Amino acid sequence: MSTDPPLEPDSYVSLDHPMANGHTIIKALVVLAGVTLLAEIALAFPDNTRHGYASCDSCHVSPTGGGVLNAYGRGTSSAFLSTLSSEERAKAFYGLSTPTWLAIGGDQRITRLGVQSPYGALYKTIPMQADLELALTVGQITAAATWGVYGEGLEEGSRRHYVLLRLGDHFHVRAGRFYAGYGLHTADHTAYSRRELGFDEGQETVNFEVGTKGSVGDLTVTSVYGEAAAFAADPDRGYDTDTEGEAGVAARLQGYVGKASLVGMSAIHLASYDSQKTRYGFHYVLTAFSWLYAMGDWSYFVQEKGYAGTSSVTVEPYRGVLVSAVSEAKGTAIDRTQRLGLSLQLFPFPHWEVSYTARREETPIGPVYSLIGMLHHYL
Amino acid sequence: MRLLEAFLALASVTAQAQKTFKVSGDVTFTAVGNPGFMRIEGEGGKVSGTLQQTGDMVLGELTVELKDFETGIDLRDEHMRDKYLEVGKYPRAKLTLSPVPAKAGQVLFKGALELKGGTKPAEGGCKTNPSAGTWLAECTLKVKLSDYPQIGVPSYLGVTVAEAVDVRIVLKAAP
Repeated sequence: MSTDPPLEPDSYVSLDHPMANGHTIIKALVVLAGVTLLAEIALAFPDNTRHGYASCDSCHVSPTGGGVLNAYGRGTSSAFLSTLSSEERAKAFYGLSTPTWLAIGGDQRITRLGVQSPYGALYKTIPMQADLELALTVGQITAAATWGVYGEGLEEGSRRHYVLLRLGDHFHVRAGRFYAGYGLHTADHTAYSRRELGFDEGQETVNFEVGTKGSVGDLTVTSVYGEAAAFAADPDRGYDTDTEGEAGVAARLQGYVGKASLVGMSAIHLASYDSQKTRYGFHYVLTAFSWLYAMGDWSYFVQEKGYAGTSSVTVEPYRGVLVSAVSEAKGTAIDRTQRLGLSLQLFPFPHWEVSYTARREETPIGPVYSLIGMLHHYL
Repeated sequence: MRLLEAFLALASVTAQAQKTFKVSGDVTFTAVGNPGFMRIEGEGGKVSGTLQQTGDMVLGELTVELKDFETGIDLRDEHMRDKYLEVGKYPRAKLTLSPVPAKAGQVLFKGALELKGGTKPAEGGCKTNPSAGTWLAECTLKVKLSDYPQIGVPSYLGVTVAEAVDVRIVLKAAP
């Protein structure tokens, strides 16, 4: 990190590299785009596998995780995720007792980012998300939808919305806009294992999904109909419900191993009018103790003969205090990029998460160092 | 006089044929919570008791202190001990074994399991391994929660523990 203090908040403050000019600013911005937006969304939290919660819908309404919590998920945030417990305050909106047919939540996130690249230093505060999510259940049918503003431009829209039909404890079908089941879906959407696979923030697709699960594992098969611009508020076109991009199929098979571990494999094939993408992957959460576990998610890119993945080892020295060492790599036969990181993640009490991450990434223009602080509040 | 001698001799033979073993070991259980098939692993249970071997058959009683079980989440432990098992009033579970063959390898057993004031038939299997006068065994049995309605149906915020709980006992029986 640069030792130069920022002249003005939220602006470029140092471009003293000899090559600094408008072109390099653009380059640096490109680098920034690669490392920024780290903050973690209320997505699936596969870390909870360490407590025996290998199945996402133990805590989330969504069968593949992420988004609004069910009542039990709120209970777990008090029971073992947060440093300070408060079963009552862990409820939606700090104490709202909702009927069993209603789940309500929402997320607000903001990130403070510092980046040191060969071209200079950058400090930036990024508002990332402020939304609400509702899930209504009638019998075996659940309808869920988010609505809010996202990203620096505070673009309004719904990133996730679906109708879910549960067929007993073992089967479900779902249609709507959400991430297809593939890999671990860690909370960090900038992880190579997500971003390089097309699961970055806002890249939810329009899908039809079938899934089955039991005490030994789960299987999800998703038919993907494109990366939707669905329901994005566009001042010129109104609410656009067209889909665009690649369509195909994804499948994920996971086995729950031992007391609190899982291993799985995934495949996805997507095609557009001018390209094909086929990826195969494996992932794992291996728990030594509830306070020490390893996660990994790696994929092979068939057409590119490339790969991308993320591995981490996490220790929880005190409840709600997680320290992770993260190693990532991506590459092809002629190119390779590596990123190492160290993160501190704090869950002081229900509804709040604070994280700090330091990273070093090798890029074509040289090493890029970043330090990211993120504040996440969920309702 | 001869009759008395014969009786004493018989008693002596009988006494020699009956061996008593002291049991120690660990008890764990696995339950499943639905929806979501979450695994609930209970650890820390200590088994104690005695087994009597008469000829080729063994019987006896095994007990476990229920307060010793931990599932890894404090709140869940509190609910298990205080709300459902009520370990203050019913501190231990007791498995009374009907006579089973004293042999190495796979052995099926039957008996009765007393839990929270109720007693129901129980059956399971053991893999036994005799070694220098000591028996090592790994036993499993299923406990149906509906057999013990006084426990209730363990449930928390929409998640309910499934009907069958798998219990595993790893024991050592030494003279």
